[in-house]
Amino acid sequence: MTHQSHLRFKEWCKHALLCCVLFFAFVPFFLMLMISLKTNDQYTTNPWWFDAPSQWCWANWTKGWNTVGHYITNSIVVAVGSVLLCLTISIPTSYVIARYRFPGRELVYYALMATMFLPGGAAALVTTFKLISSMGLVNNLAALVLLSGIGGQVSCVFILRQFIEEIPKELFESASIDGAGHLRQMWSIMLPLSGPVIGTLAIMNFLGAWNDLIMPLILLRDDQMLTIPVGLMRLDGEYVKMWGELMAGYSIAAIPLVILFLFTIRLFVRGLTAGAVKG
Amino acid sequence: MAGILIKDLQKIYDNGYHAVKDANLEIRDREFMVLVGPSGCGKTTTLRMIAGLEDISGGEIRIGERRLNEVAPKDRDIAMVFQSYALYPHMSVYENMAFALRLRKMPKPEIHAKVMEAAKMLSLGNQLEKLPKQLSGGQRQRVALGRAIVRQPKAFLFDEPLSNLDAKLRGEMRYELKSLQTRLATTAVYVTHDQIEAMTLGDRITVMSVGEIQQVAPPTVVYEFPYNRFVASFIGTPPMNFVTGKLVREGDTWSCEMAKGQRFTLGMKERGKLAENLGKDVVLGVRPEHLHAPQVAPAGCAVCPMKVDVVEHMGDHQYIYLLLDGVEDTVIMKAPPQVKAAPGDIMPVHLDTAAGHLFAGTHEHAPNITLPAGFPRQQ
Repeated sequence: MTHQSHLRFKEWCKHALLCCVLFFAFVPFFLMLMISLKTNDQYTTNPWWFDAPSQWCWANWTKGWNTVGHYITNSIVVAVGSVLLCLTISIPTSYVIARYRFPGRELVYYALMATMFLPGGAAALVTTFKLISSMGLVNNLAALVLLSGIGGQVSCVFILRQFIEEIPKELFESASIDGAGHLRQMWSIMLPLSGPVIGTLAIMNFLGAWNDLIMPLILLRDDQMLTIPVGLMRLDGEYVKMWGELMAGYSIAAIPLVILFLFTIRLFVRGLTAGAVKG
Repeated sequence: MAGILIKDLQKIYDNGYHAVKDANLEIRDREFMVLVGPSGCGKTTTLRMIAGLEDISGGEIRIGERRLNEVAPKDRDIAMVFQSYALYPHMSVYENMAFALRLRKMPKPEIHAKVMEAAKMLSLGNQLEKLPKQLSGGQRQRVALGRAIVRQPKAFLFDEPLSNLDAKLRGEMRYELKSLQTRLATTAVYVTHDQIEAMTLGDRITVMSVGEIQQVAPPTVVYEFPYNRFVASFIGTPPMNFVTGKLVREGDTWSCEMAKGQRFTLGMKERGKLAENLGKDVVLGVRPEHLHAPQVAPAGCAVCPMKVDVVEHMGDHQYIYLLLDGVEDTVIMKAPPQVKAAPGDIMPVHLDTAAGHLFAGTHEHAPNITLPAGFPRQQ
């Protein structure tokens, strides 16, 4: 095999692999959209492809929207609240740990990082529920905001600290000579320069809060309070699964995330590669 | 406008490193003071302590009558230009220059007037909307200057502001800096390791080494009357030539006798401290322009044959690198272009020792014993 054909073969393999990954990523999405337009009968007779457009069952989407509409509002409140809380705490924390030398600085940082190793999720369900219950926040969206916001801040501090340390310290020194105090340095220098990273962290935290199933399932009682993942379970019939309605509900639940991702994709990619290349 | 007084200034870092030792310096009102020295000599640390960016371990700093030790950088009323320019990358040129004024809650029309005035002064008028990354190195440097100017501070602090520029631009900016400081009539402290910048910009220069001030004087004085061997070696391009020998005397004639027996008769006028160094190791320092080829030598020089090693033609002059028997380093002669020399030639070199210096001892900071009596370290 000549060198050139060897290279071509390698390229071909790479593309084949990528196509394979894309196929598996998009097939569920495709199936979800396709099934959302079918009745159960149509699904049974033709499960793998669209029927004629005249036969599309839009009633599934109406039913889906009626079911998950207000869950979306709840999810938006929880996810946005969680992002705001997480950033409000982690930005000043990262700034102080990255920029200021004080006795015990590393100790504080590593103590914070050590909390990442504490058991979370299912292992801490009982204690978390007891804590929230003692705060009187059961069946309250504020409990989810609190848990998601605080839960995400350690990894945010970890990532942000690295990023802030890469901002030339002369910029902060120059700002302090220009008359900027700490808050102003954070607001006018750090925030604009960390935009991509903060944006990425915000998106990741948003997704985490949006997709969380366990906590809302345990903490929320009233139907009016449910978030999307719990709400979607309500579409899951007890005896007969209405696949079309279920998939329409899932599709509607995915729309806000798709919109969010389309608007922030550039930010997201920049944030993920930030610091990789000296710019 | 105000002068800066530095008294017994100390800087000891947490790891015990003593960066600045007992520095005493008075920078006069409207003076352009250059702190010069090699890397690690404490010049930037001193500047950063004036700016308030480093804590002071001991001593005090005053601007005018005001003690600055406990004053935050933003309240010191100084402006600093950094080596990296430290322009805010997300702000336009205009916003960069207006930032400090906005923080002082100055009315917008006044900010605009000041920024426009500075922009005009620095020829930045048509760059105001651009981001720093869209500017050339020289323009960025101007923006950094403009940011300092609009503040109208009591003092400008410059931390090696020209070292990121190419040689041509550095020359242009040197001229602009000097004329700007003269026009603005503001006290300026300028840190550099480049002795050409120090010589050309400073009203006075402070030579620092190992955290200590070695000499403070106008550039010509530092050049002609170096306080010790370090100052003599650091100021001047190419550097001063040094030869080590013993101080000997025959009647009224004092000489520096080298290991191989060559003797350089000393022609210096100041001889007050020679007697106490008789028979001891001394270092004779002669600048390249005080070494002469036979055909252009003035009378009264010490003569010694040396072997030509390398000749560098510079156009209006040439540097001839010479080998002296028993001396490890080459000796450099600055000669007019008509002097003919080729590698391998043996040339009777004339040393104008009357213009040279004698240092007591062979260590780096050996004092110059041929300075006039009572010659001050700081003037």
